Amino acid sequence: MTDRAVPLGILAAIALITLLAPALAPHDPRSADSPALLPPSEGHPFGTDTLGRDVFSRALCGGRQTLGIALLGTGIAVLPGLVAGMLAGFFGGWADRLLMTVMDVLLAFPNLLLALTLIALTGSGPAQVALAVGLAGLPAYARVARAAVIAARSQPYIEAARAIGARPLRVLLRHTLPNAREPLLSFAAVSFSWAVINGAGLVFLGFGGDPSTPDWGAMLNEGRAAFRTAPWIALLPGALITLTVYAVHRLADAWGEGKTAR
Amino acid sequence: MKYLFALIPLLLILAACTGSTPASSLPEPRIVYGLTLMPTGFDPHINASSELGIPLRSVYDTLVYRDPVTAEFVPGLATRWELSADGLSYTFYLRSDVHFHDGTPFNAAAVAANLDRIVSPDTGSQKALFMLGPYNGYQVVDDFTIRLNLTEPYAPLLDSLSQVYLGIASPTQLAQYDTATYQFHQVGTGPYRMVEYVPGDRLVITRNPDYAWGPPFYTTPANPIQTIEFRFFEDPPTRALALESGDAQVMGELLPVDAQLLAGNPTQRLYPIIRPGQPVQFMINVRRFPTDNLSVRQALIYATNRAAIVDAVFQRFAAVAYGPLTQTTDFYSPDVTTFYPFDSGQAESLLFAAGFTETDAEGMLALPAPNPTAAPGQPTATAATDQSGSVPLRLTMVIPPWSQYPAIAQLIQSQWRILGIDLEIRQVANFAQLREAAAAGDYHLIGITFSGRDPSLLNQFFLTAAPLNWSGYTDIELDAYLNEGTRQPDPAIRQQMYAAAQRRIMEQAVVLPVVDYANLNGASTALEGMAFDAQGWFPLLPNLSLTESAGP
Amino acid sequence: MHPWVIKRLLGALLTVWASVTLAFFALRVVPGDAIASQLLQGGASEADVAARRAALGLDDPLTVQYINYLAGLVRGDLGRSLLNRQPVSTLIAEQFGATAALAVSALTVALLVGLALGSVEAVYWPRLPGRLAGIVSLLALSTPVYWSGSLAILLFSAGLGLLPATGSGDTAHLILPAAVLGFHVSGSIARVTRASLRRTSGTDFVRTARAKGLRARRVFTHHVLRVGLLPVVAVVALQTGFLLGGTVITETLFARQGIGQLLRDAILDQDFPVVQGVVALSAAIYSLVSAAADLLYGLLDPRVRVEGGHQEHD
Repeated sequence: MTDRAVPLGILAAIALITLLAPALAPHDPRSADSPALLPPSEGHPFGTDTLGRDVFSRALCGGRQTLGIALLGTGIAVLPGLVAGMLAGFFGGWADRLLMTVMDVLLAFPNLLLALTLIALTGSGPAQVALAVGLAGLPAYARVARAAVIAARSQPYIEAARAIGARPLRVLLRHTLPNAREPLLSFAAVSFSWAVINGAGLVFLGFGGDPSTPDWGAMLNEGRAAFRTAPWIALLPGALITLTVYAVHRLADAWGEGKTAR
Repeated sequence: MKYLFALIPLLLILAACTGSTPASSLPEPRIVYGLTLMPTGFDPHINASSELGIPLRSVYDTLVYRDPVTAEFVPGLATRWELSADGLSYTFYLRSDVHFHDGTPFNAAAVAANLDRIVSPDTGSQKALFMLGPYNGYQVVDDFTIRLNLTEPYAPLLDSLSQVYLGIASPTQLAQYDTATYQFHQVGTGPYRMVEYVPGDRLVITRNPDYAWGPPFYTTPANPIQTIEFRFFEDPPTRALALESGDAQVMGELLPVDAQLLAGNPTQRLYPIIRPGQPVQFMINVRRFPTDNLSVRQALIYATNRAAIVDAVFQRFAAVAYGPLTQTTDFYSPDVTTFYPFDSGQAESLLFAAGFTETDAEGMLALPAPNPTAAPGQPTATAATDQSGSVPLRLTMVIPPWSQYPAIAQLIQSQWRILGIDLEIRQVANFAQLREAAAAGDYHLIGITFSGRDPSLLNQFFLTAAPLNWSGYTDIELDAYLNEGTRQPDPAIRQQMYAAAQRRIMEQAVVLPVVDYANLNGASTALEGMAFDAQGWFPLLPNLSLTESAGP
Repeated sequence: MHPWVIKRLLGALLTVWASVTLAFFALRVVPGDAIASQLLQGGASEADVAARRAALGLDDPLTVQYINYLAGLVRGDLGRSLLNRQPVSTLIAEQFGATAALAVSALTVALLVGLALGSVEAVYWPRLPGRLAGIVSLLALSTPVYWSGSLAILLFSAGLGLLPATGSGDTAHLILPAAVLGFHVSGSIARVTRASLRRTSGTDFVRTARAKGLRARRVFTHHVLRVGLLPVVAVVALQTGFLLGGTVITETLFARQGIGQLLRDAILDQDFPVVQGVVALSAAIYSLVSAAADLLYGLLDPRVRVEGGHQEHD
């Protein structure tokens, strides 16, 4: 029980901070009214960035875009990916071949081109970034889900269930899936981590719309260029990203343990 | 599983074998020069990237050169030249003592072969061809005299002929390799010769011992650099690191924060060069409300604290720009510095006068709802109104990712917000998208900047029918100034024309000039003679020498 | 040839065709092309641009261009770059060696580190070694490559002067990028290894094996590891395809040659033939890698026959 409490607590805290950020932030995150690259000081607990904006305020507000993109992107990757992987892994045959060919095609399609095409069609913005990130992660999740289902379906009790005459879908959902739970959850958490990083990459290239929107990934990038003169810029958003990823993984692990279905 | 482990050492050996032969057989002293982006191709007649000129400027000679200090045209492969009275032909008298790196003698026929190549549709030139302007063929008068003809007078021709894109290559070599493969086997007459070009990895040149026909500003130091290896450093933060660790002895386009660090480092020296051409600027859309109003445009320039931008974004390694040309461009007019200094008070009153008299709860300006009893001449809007019917002062800015536009845009957004101007920034990924955004028309400001010494580059942006006239500003008089400036070879007349053009553009606030961009080059202090040519980008490599063995 | 091999080959061809088609049309949905962008920046007029595009066949109807491209593809002709006239196959061949070298070494690092971290975490959790392994794998996952790479360069190259930071040359230049990239990839391998191992530890056949008196370690390697590895194989296959497709960030950071840069530049420059060629290559690689993965599934767990294995269901 405590296993889940800690990561849940962390995530709840981060969610709370993110939602309340505009009220909590001491400065307007877009307002560049201080000198650039100030070290942590009075009024700026984490200093100012390359344009003179308060790092602390931007980090507080940055969760919104980063987490929003990551959550949406993970959803787009995991939900359809799970369905595709399950069907392919459980039923095999032509369904498997067809689905996996589609996945290979998606995998071979460059993420950057996907993002560019999306933007040409619908303009740039966080939703488009999330879609690009999700579509990039979808085939990956499908493949892992498929492997997990294949490994799970070969258990003897599965054969037993089918021998009794249980319908395939029931066998899939009530028996096979729960046994594949751990790798499925774990890779969902991995997909989330990838979504955060890939999302940050696309936002940095300018696909996220307004570049002044606070975003942990963008701040990490900025912070890298100025690292030797101003290491404080990247520290806070980097720590927040790592903390979130840590909590998500711990939660996935905790959910994964549990009674083994029989 | 066991098999996997057995494979690993095999694969590692394979991996190691993919390395190419080290350049230890090349003559010393040797330096590594850092290039900052990888051009798609290295053929000066074909490709447009300025990066390729950095090594190739020294592999080729050009008909004329420009003195890096005075910017005057001096003899190169041509000892002298004459312009016909009607301005339609240039006659070049060529040197007779020159030969190419492969031994082929240099003469008028060689120049002819080069011109043929540049204009040939098979070559597919992306820049050199267009630098020739209204070029209309040549005549070989004798072995060492060639005449170039034009359909109309074209003053920038000499400047074009002084650039690497119109460098003279060996006709023998051009005949031997096709347009796709020549770039790997380039032969010129210059002080360095090309050894190899490995795409994505390096380009190597070595000194030409026979070189004896350089312009006067090519000095020959006692201990010149024999081999220069050009490598690519596309990631900005690694550039300074490479310089400090000795991976490279020269590096271009350092980040301003890194240049700050370098300034305090005794083993490195900074060589900032202000880029000639357009400053980092925004073209203002004069066809769209509210920037169709001159007062609003002027207010925007008054509202921008450019010095603060130079401080924050460029760490003071740049200069405030006041006009459509940077201070190192030919015929730059210092008059532009009188236009629109930073003055938020002036900006406010101009915006008020333009009708933006309302302020909402957040301090944003707006045009009050149209009043039936309002005086005629009040600006009407086709822009979106909010519930009360008033029109907020909301602007859209489109920016590319280069030249620090994102940082500049964000600072401007923050500065204008204080005055009540709501600015939305839209970043695009490449030039094609920039062009697409311009075609769509729903922007008020768009960021674009080209470099080049000759101000005729303004034609592409400000002539009425120009392909890149993204401000939509049309003015017959401005057209006349620009066209005359392009036609008239007399520098005094060109000076007048371009002064008038710059003044007109700024009077009408067609552009928001921000910064004269400086290319921050860093070099080891062991390197002597570091200087750049008249175009600003290209180093005078023949003048370099090492004071101690500080090579790689 | 074995019927399975034929089936997979046909599948690979289908995948390549579908990918190239998708890329072909996606590229043309995005407005503009390499020629227009380059020429306009070089000082050309609209008329010049139009003439040049017509000469290159960029104005032909899309279906005509598509069919011509496919015809070339079938012959093995990937076309020429719009910007530098090089045959696309040459461009790819030049860069692929560096990518392959980096991919192989990074994958090796990733496998060794990832499997080790994941196993340690699965076996020793919740004791300290397990927790430490967990933290390391989490760091690998949450740190972007450009960060770990920059830090590595700062530390090992600029700071300690131990290793060269940039360049493609020899093995020495491979060490830092392979280590950084390998560490990053090991994160996902470690996590999935851990999850799979914890699941399969308690199943029936393991208990049976232990009841037979086999030592715990042998039980682990010969029973637990093999079945638990199926999802891990899937992840490794994915990462192999990803690495062989070119890792642009690592290449840029360490100033290396590679397919990643070739592709990114071609996409941003809209150099259609190059993008299409690299996509075709990627599709072929992913097909190959998935086939290998499926083969491995069968080897690891004899009860599973992925291809032609219909004895599990009706």
